[in-house]
Amino acid sequence: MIRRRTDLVCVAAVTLLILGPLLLGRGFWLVGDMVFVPEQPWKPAWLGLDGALPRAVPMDALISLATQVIPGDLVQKALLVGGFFTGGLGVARLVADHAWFARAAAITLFCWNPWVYERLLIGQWAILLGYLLLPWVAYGAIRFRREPRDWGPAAVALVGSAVCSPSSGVMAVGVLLALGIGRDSRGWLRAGILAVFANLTWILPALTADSTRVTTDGVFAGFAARAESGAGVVASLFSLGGIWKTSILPGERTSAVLVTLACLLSVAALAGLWRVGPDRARWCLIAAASFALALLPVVPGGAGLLEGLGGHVPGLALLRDSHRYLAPYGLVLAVGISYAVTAVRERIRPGNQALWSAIALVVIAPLLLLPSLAWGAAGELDRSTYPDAWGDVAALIDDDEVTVVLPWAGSYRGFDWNHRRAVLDPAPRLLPGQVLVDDTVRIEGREVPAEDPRVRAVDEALDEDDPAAALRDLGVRWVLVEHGMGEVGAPSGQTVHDASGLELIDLSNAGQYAVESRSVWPEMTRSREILVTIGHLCVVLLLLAGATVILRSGSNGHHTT
Amino acid sequence: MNTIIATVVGALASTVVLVGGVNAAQDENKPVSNEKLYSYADQ
Repeated sequence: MIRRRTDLVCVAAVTLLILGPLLLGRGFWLVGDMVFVPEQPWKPAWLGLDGALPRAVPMDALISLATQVIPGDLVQKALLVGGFFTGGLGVARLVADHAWFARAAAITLFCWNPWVYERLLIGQWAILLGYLLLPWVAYGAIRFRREPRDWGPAAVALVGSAVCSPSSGVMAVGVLLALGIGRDSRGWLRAGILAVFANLTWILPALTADSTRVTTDGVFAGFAARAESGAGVVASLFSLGGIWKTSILPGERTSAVLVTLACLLSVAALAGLWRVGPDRARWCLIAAASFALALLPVVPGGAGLLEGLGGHVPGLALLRDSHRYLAPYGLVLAVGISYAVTAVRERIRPGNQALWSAIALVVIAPLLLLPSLAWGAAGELDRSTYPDAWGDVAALIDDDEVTVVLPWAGSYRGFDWNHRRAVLDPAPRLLPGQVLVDDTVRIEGREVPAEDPRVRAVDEALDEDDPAAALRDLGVRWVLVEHGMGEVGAPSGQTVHDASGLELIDLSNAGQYAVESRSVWPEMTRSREILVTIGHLCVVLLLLAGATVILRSGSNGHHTT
Repeated sequence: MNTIIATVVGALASTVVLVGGVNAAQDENKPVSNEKLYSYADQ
């Protein structure tokens, strides 16, 4: 009990230090892909029933349900706080046999590192949650290997990871296979079944997404890891940094001295890994595979190879932004540093008690090496509140109507009320009905074209001489113009709302918009609905069965690594 | 032995604190400009 209390205090301190500004009052952190809204209306798309690629399926469904009863900003706070507690306590559980300071070293390195900073600042909170679930995937996998009937923890953790994002689900499967498979061939079969069933929630929508095309041209090179400092890209990755989006880098990561010192911490963690015991090779395999995957697009020919393969295997598009696949490597380092600290403790004798200072330094090193993560990325993340105009606009639109959002130039916005911080347009999540935003990705002077044909249809309509008529023919009734981000040429129509930088134009005033043959309305086919729904039901059943196994076996306490 | 260990640890810690502190302090909040808003890498 005391052991858990010390872990809890450590995790609480780290969480409070990182998320403090978010927790001090109401309001949202809105940055990059991190978009929460006060109330997210329910749409079939949240379950992947609309034929689009399942980027946030079924997480959007869960968020939508949660915001029906709890305000969105509180949902965001609960998810982020819960995530850090889950991750910190999970990694402490993995090294439960170690002294409190060794567990504290694992907690600080796992929860406070460049990968966490960079994913938080890019707004990929769901992928961050997937990372924070990895210790529980590892915990469940090890139990599963030791006792195949004890598959409950692995199943629950796998489902949780798959819910976060497809790439989180893939990483969790990798950890399961590395740690959860023994020599028994039936173990492979069981693990395979678990892995596939847990991920059905996004696999089936992806396989039945008939209205999208995935572009891999240039994306692997565009999203490849970068050198943050003069120490080079390998050093950046070795110390858990190296994201492609250089504009969000904290000052510390541009210092070769600090990146090199961070590498020393990684070396210490990997050295500690040798004391893990028989599972050492498995942990090393995870670290090596994770690191290699992140490095692959950087090595000569690597991006070209992935691009070539991606032309034949669309699923490989999952590997773009390969830096995210460093997540399992972060888990390995956290486990390793705990063993390293324990090794140092065992060498302390009268005459070298100063080694305690080395232990203390290792515990707080992640914080010293990356002070910018403290207190909302050193003030970078301020809370924001949506102007009332967003709610007013949402109230004017019905569930069965189509809205096009302008400016038609990418899907990121810099609203004044959000401190001009770039954030994914909140309109598709905040407004009811079908909301279309240009999802063209512009990176390094090149454009990754929109994947959704409905978006391309709007693109062409906006280029017509009479865009209002062309949009009406597509079935579009509303145009929402978000002002304050450059000049926007809006189609002609009746403005029914104009306040706080939001102008809502009704196209139906000048002519009837297509109702029966709306080519921009999602293609809802019965077979897809049935198939995808069955997939979600399978995942729910797996979750319930896994939870039952946990409750029956009284999943407690054994050490794991 | 204690002196050597304390010196090494102290040097490492002070280096990290100094370099990290200076670099973090020099970092600035960067509101996104209109020109760069739609370029994914610059946001």
